[in-house]
Amino acid sequence: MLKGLKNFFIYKKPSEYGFRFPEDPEESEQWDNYRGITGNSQNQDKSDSSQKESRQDNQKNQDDNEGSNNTQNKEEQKEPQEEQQGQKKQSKDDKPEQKEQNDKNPRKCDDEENDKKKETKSDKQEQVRVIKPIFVEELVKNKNIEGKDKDNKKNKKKLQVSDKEDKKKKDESSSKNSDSESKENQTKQKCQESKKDEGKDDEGSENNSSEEKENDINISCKIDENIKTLKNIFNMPVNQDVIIREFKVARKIEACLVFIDGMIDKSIVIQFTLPQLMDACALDGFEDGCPIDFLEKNILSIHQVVRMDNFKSIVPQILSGLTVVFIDGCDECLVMESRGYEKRDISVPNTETVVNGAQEGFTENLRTNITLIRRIVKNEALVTEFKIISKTNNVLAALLYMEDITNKKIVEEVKRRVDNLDIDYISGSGMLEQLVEDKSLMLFPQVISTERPDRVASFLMDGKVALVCEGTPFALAMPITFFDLFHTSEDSNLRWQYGTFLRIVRLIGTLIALLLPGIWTALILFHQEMIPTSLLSSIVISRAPVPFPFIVEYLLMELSFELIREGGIRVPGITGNTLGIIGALILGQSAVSAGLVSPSLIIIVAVTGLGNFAIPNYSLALAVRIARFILIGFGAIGGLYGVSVGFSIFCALSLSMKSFGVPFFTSIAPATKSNRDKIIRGPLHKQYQRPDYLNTQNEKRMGDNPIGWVTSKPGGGRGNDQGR
Amino acid sequence: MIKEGKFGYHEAISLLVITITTKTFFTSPSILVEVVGTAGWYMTFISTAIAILAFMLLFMLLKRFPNKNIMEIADLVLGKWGGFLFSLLFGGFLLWIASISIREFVEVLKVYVLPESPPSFVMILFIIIIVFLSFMGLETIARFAKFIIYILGLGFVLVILLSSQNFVPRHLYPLLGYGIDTTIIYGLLRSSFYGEIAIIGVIASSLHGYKEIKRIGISTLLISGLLTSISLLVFTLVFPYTVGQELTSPMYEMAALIDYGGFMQRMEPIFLFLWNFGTFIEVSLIFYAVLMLFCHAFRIDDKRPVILPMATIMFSISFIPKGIAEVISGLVQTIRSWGWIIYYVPPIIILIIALIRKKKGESQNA
Repeated sequence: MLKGLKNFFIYKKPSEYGFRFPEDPEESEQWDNYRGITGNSQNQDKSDSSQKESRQDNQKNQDDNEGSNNTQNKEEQKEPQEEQQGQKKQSKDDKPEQKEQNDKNPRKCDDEENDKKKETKSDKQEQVRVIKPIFVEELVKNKNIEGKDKDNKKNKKKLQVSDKEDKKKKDESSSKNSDSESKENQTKQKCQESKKDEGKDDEGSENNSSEEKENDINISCKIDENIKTLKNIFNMPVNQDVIIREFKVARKIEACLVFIDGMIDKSIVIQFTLPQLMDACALDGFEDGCPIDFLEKNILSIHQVVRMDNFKSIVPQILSGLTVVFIDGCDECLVMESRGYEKRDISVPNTETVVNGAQEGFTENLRTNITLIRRIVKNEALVTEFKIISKTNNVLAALLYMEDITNKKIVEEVKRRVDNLDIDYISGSGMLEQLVEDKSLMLFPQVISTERPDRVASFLMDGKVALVCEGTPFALAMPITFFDLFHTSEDSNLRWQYGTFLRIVRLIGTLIALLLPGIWTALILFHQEMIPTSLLSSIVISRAPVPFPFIVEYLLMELSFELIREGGIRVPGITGNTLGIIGALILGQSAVSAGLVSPSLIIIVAVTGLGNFAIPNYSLALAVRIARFILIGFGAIGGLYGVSVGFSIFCALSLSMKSFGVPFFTSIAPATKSNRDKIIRGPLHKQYQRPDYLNTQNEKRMGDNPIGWVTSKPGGGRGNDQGR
Repeated sequence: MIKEGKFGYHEAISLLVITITTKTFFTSPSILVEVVGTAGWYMTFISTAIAILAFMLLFMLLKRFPNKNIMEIADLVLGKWGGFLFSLLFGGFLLWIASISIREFVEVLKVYVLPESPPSFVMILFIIIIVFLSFMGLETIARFAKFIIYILGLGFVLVILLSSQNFVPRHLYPLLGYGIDTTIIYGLLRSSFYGEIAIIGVIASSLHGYKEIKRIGISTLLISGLLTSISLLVFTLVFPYTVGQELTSPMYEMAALIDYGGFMQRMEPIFLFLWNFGTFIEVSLIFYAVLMLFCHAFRIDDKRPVILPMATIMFSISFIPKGIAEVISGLVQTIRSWGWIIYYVPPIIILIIALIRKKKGESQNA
């Protein structure tokens, strides 16, 4: 109802309804032809007239604004849609009959189609009508392109289809005198349908509906048709990225290479594909039939070649940087690995730096990232499954898990979530994380995002599932608990005493970042009697010249600190660091000198900031930053009692939170079996078991005697001694 | 619908221990000193023993009807209307307990921490957290208890250790308090202190079988008895019994007395957190048990629509007492002395009727 009201009151341009005025003379001519026929169709199709009337009513609303002169033109533009709808219904009704005829005479229809093509080559307008088959329209539907481009395309296609159907109607109107022409039109359609049905024996007549076939367009044996289909798919020649290189295999057979400029390694095409295929002797030894098998096995010296026969599977490969070879006479094509686009080199991880540990971070390239993981986990049980996760930008993600360790149910759950995404655009792991997490309303992260391949490897070895997505130098691991966010890869690389110490420091930092602002607010505003006398007197003296209420003073400082942090990140390069230091020093010093804030408050804000920096996970640190403000609010309204209420709310939220079915604070609440590896990290050789909450297939991560050299005799026996 | 879910041994013990022992943070110790003098710290073991006995009778009932909670058992044994009356009676009593606990908490908080804040404001904040936890469900409340017990334990140990500077052993004398007979009589009556163990019957469906219920019940009572005894012992060591009976919250006072020089003094902020978290969990569990009882009595599947109205009723009931004096000397004292009648007697009556009518659960040997 609201939409109706909106349409009623808001003027929309005709183009927003999916129509535009003809721009070039050819289109105008087509329109004129069309308009000459609509009058007849209106009389013929009475059932459509009611729809037209309703649309005309809507149109009138616009015409009030537009002026009465344009009314007639607009109504005429609307008509093709109704015409198409009516005719589509007719064509659907005709299909079973056409199918039957087609099944009877498949060869005949091919011949007829060839003859027809020869006739139409001379006439350009006719060619357009023949070249644009029904399945091109279906292809465009697959792409789900929205916005103006889509509207424009629709208009074009409507024009073409309506032309075609006009032609058909014209034929029909004159068919009483010339039945043969209308039969030709029908057989064209039948041939196209029969081609689509090739290779789909099982589908049979039940799967005739266009909805079921709209994603499946098989390669034609005729290279011209394939090229035209590709041109339509890639919007050529408007789109100049896609290169279709036509040539002849051994100077005999028509062929073409299709690839996207800039996405491929040119040497593969220049050195290892074209010279071999264009060589005059390339077909020596080849006898008859389709040469694709011969070329794949004998001529092309490319390391990875796959055969495909469907545009649905070919197009994403081309878009990913692979090169496709189409050969005349073959109903398959060769898809060659040729990816060679520009990419960033492996560098030190920026967000998870460590002192003692690997210094390699992920890049934006999926293949590189998987290689980095595989270099650490050199095991045949590491499974990598590739999945396209977005519909329009076709982003590829890899699902990694250990076949013999990971719980199958977790793998299935991750697959279920990834497979059921229905979204046009995903830019990388950050968006993917938000789309697969359990509850988006929760403040704390439910999937861990890491830049370090060694962390992903350790997660995989624990029995977690990893998702690596192209486009961002981060990988996701799941399911997680709070302690995964709290740990770093350095903890394991250092001796257990050092690791434990660092974790305790980190825990204190986290607690300070979360609770100190709220507690400080509560103490200053409500519980001055709880502050030791000497401390209280110094606070009172320092606060004496400050003109603001405490809460305003505090929020002002916290906000300034957040601004410095945000500004420091956004300002490029070294300027950012300088801004941070200058901001902190000058702003703080000046604020104290001006008597705007008390020095004690600056210390509290600074310590809080440092505590926050100690949190190793960026998402968790952000969550704590937000929670801090909420606790300041609770402290301001209820003192320490208010802080307790706020803290309890956060606890309850995080305790009820789950990551892929695993409670966030697992191993504490609920209590599960675990190694000494939560806050205090035990010696490495005593971390016997994998996390209990993951229910892994293989629960033990080491043997009964992981450091066997302790019990073996010096000078012989086991382990390193064998090498002596 | 809120899923009650299942929770394990540690969560259940944490939940019940906190619910029982939080009372020591308020006015109960001073009342105890008033009635038994210096004998409170061992008198509580008599109460614990009685509570264990009562729990064993409750356990016999739960064992007789495996995988059923006390409301379902009451329905089976007493019939539809009998069960309804039992749920209503027990639910009403727990609602009263929850309301009085909130009022006691608010009054004590007002005395020590928030003297200028209106009680209704303090209570609204309290109701918010109770409602919030109830919406999250029993499983979350149990996990919250398990999570917070580490903080509570640490704070408790810290306060006791730091208070050791104020221990005066002669405050324990006379060892027998006001006489052994008084100690025993009040020990029997004050078994109501552990009465919340009866809630285990309400939440029995969320625990893993009757064998675990037995372990949970016994462990809870022993741990609670020990902690209560330690609290009372420490409190008796710090304050002479003549002073102790005058204090509103002896444990809070004890924390405030800590003084290790100019900076290490006034440790009450630590104690304040113990107070708050403990009471949140205590009232949340009792309130959730009330919800379960009422929803069972009136055959309501989804508890969520009931939470806010029930919280409003609890809020209103907690305003019925006229002041702190009525709460401490009247209601709390009565509940601690005579609460056992509602906590322990109805399950025993149900057990006796079940034995007489030879009613049993379907899969007793499962």
